[in-house]
Amino acid sequence: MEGGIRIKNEAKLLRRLKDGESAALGRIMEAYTPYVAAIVRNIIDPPLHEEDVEEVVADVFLALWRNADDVGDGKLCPWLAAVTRNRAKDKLRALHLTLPLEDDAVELAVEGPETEAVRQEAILVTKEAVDALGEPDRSIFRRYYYLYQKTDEIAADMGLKPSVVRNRLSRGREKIKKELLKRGLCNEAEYG
Amino acid sequence: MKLSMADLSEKCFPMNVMIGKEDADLTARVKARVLAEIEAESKPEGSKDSVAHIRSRRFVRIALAAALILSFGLVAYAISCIHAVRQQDLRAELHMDQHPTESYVEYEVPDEPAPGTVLLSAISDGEFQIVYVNVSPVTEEEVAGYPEKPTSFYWKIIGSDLHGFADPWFRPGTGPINTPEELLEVVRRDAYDAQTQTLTLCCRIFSEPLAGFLENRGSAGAELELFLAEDYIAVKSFGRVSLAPTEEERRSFDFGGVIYIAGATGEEMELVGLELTPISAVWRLRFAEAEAAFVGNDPELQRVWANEADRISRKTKIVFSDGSGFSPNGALHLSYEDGVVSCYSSWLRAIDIHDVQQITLDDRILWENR
Repeated sequence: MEGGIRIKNEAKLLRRLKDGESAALGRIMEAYTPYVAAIVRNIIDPPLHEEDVEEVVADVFLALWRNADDVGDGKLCPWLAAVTRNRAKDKLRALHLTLPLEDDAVELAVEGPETEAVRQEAILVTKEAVDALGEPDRSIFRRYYYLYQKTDEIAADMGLKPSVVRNRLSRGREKIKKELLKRGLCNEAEYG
Repeated sequence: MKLSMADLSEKCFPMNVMIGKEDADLTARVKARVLAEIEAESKPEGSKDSVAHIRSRRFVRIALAAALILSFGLVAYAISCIHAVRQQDLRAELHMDQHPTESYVEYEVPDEPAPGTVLLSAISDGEFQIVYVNVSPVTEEEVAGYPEKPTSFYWKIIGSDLHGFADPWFRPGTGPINTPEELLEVVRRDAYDAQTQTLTLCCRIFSEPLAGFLENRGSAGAELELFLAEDYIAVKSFGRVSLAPTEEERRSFDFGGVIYIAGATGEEMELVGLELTPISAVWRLRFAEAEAAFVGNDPELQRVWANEADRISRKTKIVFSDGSGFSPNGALHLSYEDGVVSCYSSWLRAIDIHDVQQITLDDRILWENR
């Protein structure tokens, strides 16, 4: 499904939410529960139990209620997606599970106190590199790595062949790794 | 330090992508759960939650602990009692001791106090699976909101489109209820227990769609969930229980196509037969205008023949071996299939369908036990 916003008058709803109106939260939950649940299911895959999914989704909306002031206008959807990613991973950790580290993992070119600074820089460089990708590569990359959609689902949603999606992903990864290497942010052994 | 590409992509939010399929069940559950949590958070200090918090810090003195244990014990006893009491009330009002039937089932009620839904009993009348449940906690404010309908209760069969209102139970024979105040009084009298915040509800689930749903799933039972709604939006779930349809006990009487002259139209009507369950009746009728009324969807013809069917239902007399008689209530709804109109009516005190000796209509004997 394409389209960034599920509800009309989102800004108004957000203002009501910040004023402490639980009915506004109810409306937001009606609109965004499927979206949040889909991200949770993509991360906790296969879903351990439906109760776990429900718990994480509820946790995300409770976080929204408690931190509504942190959400900027027009930023509700990205805020929910970011919190959902974190909460779903927290849930995995709580269950003593981790997402598998893919073959494409990148070894940062630093250890020690500067690691966090390098990590932040690598994230910004990745964003720039992804933004520079042409379409449909950019959308494919974001769906796969941000929303954790499977290649088959991406292919179905975007009307592409799964093999095309996999090839484009591979090409995007190479470009990003190349950029990280060029900036000295990852080790050469990780590239090529 | 190794980072996955997904970790590196944490600022690559896809702005114009919306994923996920509509899931009304999950949305309702999440809403109920979150709103209940928010409500609990907003309770003032000194409420049950703050007591629980203090308890978790192990600052409770022995005397207070003893008092808590005692009060918990009393609540446990009261809740267990309210389940058993309601079961007894239902059994008595349904006349199950006098006329036991296979279509009635009484469930084992839990001893442990716990908020949620408790199955009490169920009975099938062929058309509906009628299920009685206790739900808690229901506050006095929520009960007070029911008669004017900002508050309502409803049931849903999980995984299906089957849902409907769950109405507070009240004793058969209660006179006409004309005002919201009268309705609230009856609900408080018969269905609500303020001490345990427990409300007894009646769910009427269409038997045929339920059977179809179970057949498609290859399952003997379904999950029934009860909700509280404000302005028709679910705000609280009372949880789910497993429900298997009860047996259906039915007796059919064939009248061999007796001709009856309809009072309102003067036209002939064929009385095909009558099907009885302990708490319902279905008249099978055939008349010339049936197809025009129901297939042609003529509201005026439907009204005329519905009135006639209603009159037939109320004028029917079922006579038992002790000489006592019973007349069904008026027609609740009509349906049409293959030239035959079915007229359904129900009541809430069981009769012994195996003890029927005679069936009459306007003093004309339609069937007799010989």
